[in-house]
Amino acid sequence: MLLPLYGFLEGDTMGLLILAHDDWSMVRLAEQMRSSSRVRVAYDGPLAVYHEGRRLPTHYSVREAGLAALDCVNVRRATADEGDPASAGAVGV
Amino acid sequence: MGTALADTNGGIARALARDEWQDLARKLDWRFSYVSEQDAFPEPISGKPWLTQDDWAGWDEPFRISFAEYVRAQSDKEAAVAAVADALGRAAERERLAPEWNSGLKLHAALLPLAEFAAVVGNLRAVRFGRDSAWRSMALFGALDELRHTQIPLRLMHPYLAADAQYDWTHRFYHSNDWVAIAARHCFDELLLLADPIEFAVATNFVFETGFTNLQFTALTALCDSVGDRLLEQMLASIQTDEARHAQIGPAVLEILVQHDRAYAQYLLDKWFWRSFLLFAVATGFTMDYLTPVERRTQSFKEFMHEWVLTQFVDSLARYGLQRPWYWAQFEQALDYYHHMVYASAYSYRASVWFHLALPGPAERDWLRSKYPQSFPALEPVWENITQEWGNSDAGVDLAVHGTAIPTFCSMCQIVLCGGTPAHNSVCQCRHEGATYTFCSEPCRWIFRQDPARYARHKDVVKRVLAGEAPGNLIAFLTQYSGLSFATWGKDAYGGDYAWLRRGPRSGQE
Repeated sequence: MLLPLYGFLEGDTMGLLILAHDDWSMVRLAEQMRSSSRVRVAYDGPLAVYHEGRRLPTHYSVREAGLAALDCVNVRRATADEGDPASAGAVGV
Repeated sequence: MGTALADTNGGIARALARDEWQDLARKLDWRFSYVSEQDAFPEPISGKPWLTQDDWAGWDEPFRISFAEYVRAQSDKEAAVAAVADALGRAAERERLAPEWNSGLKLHAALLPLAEFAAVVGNLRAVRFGRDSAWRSMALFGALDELRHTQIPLRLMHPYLAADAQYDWTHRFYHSNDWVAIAARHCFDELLLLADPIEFAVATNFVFETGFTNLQFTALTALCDSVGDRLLEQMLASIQTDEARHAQIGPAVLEILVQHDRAYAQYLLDKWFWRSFLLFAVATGFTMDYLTPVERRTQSFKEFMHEWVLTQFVDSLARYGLQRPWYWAQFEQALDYYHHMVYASAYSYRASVWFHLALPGPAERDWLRSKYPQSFPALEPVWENITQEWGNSDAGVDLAVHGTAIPTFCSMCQIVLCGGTPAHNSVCQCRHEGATYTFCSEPCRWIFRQDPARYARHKDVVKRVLAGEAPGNLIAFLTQYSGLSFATWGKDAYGGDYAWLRRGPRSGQE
């Protein structure tokens, strides 16, 4: 199922509509944001997805993360010391 | 002194001086005997708070112009505009100006005339339902002014149509579903067509015109002088003198409103200052900080706002015992970021507008860095990246350096979600009757929550796409829904062909 989400990539100037499949992982979702913002933001490092201030585990699917239609997700640059809440390590995408 | 006139009997009569008769002509209220005052001026259309005629009896404004004086002054101004149009109104004259400056003209030329026509309606509502006869008389002049402000840009831009189809948007804009038009209609429909005379006076005459338009025209007129655009300078000066006069309706209404319902006056101020700011940040912010050749810029948008709006307008609030809007911290941050965020976003979606946008080069970035030391470091990487993208593309291949995903829009102001900073977008949401609403900022969400019934049924662009009312494909959205075409949609003002821009080798090149 496709889920429309409002996505905001750190460093970008605007929000974009992301039509996410509910089985997409957070890695895939973050990659979609990176690709959609490419004309304005060049960042190839690891990313993390946040929803309502909470970082979502990398391996979670959109469905498992409990995201609903028209939810806002923030995609931020993941720092090295920032652990994945469910699986240790950086959120490389 | 009165004027000596020959009377019909051959004697000499003295015509009354203006001050001797004017109140007899402008204060014409009478006591109703066949209907009640409430029936003659019902609150839903006259506005709240509903006050008696006696409460409004002290209404006054400083211009106190008579109809004869109005006609004479307007006739002189019309002659001046016509003379400049005859001398400078040819397309060739415009083509000697920088392309980005002409883009600023196209932006203003589209936003202005039919919004002014909507203001005719708002003024005419006050002509009938304003609560004091002097107010109603002034509103009539205001309506005539706004009709003039509709006609002048339509008249002046028309000769350019043959050479440049983007000028067609001077008239076409508000009839389109371009996202900027949706945002402008959302604001102006409420401000000019829906508002009762009290809200209209506070929102349009006091906040929008006294606070922004009047001052904006002053700044733009100075820029026109610097750039050498005599036609636009004459147009703006001619309009500004009208605005300065009829804007005085606002303080006169506000003065009585605060005596009876200060909280409502503060609400109207807070709501309309934010709504006005967002539109002016786009129109004036773009023009002052991006669409004026850098060597011709006289001050930044932020400097202009501080000098003209913050100092003069906000100081005037104290006279009425009103406070600065509650969101002042967000407003001050927005002065540093908002129009830059929107401009960078619009540049990367320039095919969605009817004017070209310029890529800030090294000189422009130096200027922006000096004027916006707090925010430009966060925005500069965006311009560096866009420059890099152009470096990897051929000049003129505009869509190679262009966004393709669907942008998102505020459920209140309908402008792209560009609030906050690149590090922290200020988007926020709320639920109302089971639906989700998304806002660029806390002030926009606050405005929605104050009166959700007024706003909830309006669909932003995203909701139109999701409802199947607008195409999700960008090209189809532009051509089938927004009313643009390859000839009219915005491109880079120089086709991405800048002397300072280094291009990598193309295929087939060493």
